[in-house]
Amino acid sequence: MTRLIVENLSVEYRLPQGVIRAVNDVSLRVEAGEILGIVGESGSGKSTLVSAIMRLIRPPGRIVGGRILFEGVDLLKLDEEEMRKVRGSMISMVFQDPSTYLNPVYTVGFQVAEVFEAHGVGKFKKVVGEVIKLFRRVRLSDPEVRVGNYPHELSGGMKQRILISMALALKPKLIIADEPTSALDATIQAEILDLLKELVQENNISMIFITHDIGVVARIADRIAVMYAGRVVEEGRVDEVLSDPMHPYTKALVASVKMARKAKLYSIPGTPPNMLNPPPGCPFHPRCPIAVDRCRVWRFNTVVRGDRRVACIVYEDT
Amino acid sequence: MSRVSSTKILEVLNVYKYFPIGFLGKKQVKAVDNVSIEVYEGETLALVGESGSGKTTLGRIIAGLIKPDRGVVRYRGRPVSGISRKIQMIFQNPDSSLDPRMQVFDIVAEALPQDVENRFEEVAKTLELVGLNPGHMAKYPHELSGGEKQRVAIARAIASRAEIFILDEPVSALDASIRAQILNLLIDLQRRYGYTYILIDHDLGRVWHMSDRVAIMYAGKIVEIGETERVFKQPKHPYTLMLLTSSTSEIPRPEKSIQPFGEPPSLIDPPSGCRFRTRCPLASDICSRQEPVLEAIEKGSSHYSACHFWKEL
Repeated sequence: MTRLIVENLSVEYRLPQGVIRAVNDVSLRVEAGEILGIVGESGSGKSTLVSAIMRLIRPPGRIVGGRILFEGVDLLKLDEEEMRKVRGSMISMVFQDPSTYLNPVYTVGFQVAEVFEAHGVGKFKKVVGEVIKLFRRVRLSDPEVRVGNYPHELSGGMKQRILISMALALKPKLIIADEPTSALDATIQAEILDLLKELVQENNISMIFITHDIGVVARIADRIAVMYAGRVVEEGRVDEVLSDPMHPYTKALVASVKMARKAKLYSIPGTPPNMLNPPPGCPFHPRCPIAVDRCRVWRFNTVVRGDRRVACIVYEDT
Repeated sequence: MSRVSSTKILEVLNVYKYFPIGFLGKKQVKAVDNVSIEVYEGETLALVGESGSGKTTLGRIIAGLIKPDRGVVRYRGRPVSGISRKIQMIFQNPDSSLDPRMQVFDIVAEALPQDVENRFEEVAKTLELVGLNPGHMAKYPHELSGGEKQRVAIARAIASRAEIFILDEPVSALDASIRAQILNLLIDLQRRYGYTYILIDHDLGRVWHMSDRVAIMYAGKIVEIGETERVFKQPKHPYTLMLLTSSTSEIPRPEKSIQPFGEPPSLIDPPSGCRFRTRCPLASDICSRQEPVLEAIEKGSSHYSACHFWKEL
């Protein structure tokens, strides 16, 4: 069974200045043991999308349509108590800045143990062995010492390993990782990416990996979804999409990281759209080198080519 | 590739900066520990390293924002102390370097030399150079996008008649689609006016794209320096090779690789001898006893490495 299916999901923020449709009719799927990388710039809706999957959208935000099927169960139909059980034990998260999620006045061992407690597994003394085992799995050095450390005694990379161990604690089926390595140095980032990939494969976990960095997706993901202005504009196998991008925005993103020595870089003209007042039709058309008149009014259909999906008029059969 | 002159525009000689920490400042963080570099007119020298490597502290020392404990910085042969018009820094986050209460016109005009007469025209001209128009003059920083703010910061440096730009992660805070615009602007300005850039960036793709030479820093020291092409294709320091292996950017891959391992050392109490030895697959006894010095890999070569075993790479 497909582990996660998101169908026609839309999320709106109702603000005094107007309505922002942060996620607009998004459909995605993640298979068991698969890593889906979601790429987009700030404001593209990628973080709102995963908040919606976790049902963590708070007013003035609201899920206005769609379905989120996790192992066949529609998460949008669960009550808050049932959803609380899903979070953590079935779906867990890893965030960009681990320091924000660790309490400075408790040891990290105690905080990981709390995950077990919160889900009724047992008190610290009973689970400390489990915690050490987890620390070993995320390849934290000296795990017996680390359980007694406070967050400030650890480096950023170690703290991220702690958060990953928390995310793994209750054997989730889906891990949502929101820019988990963006704040880390290159060598530490590479280690953490390799670790995540290994953990996912060994345990048949699925992962949604959010990043703005195409290079990171290339290294870790099996499939990629590119978001722009609340929409998924292209989706497919990571090697295929990056070697042969179809959507003009994906093309531009891929071209803009092709670093030829001292040559002019391909740059996308203009700026990302103002989501309070997005352009009509295809949201990318004001910046698109191949836009035609119809792009200003056209209502965005997703074209399927094999297991590739792309939302651009040039691929529509006429 | 731009031809770099042989005129030494900047010289950093045996610079040290230790930051006192702890009770009564008894301990010290050795942020920059005996670093010397030469920078040539019109070139882009990249400073690469992870957090704590000292690259930003070194950049700030060159910009005159931090006084070194020891050592000198020379601009065209003369020692510089404090801030100089000719050496200007562009920061990662333009929000913290642009005064939110000043309009763009005043931000740029303030940087012009006193004797410039027609200030309005001069500001308009400078803004045009960075791709902004006179309409931006009356705006406040909060009315600008991230890319526009960075353009204003660059305009301010141009207005101050800077010759050396210290670019401290100039595009890291910008959206992917905006980054290329700013990098292209920087390259274009360098071609037209011969500016010298010291680029501090953690992204090896951008370093590959932008720089003529690259200095790799680790734990407060330069461990390798040389022409970017050579350093990337034939690195002569194991840390450089580990960095290249770890990078997710589109850069040439050297034949060998060193898998990332371990964490950078404490700068309060760094390892004896070579500071990289705790993570280095090549390390042996000598590395803990004797600190390797930065030496040319061949006589007369501009490629330097500080490793006892660079020949094994």
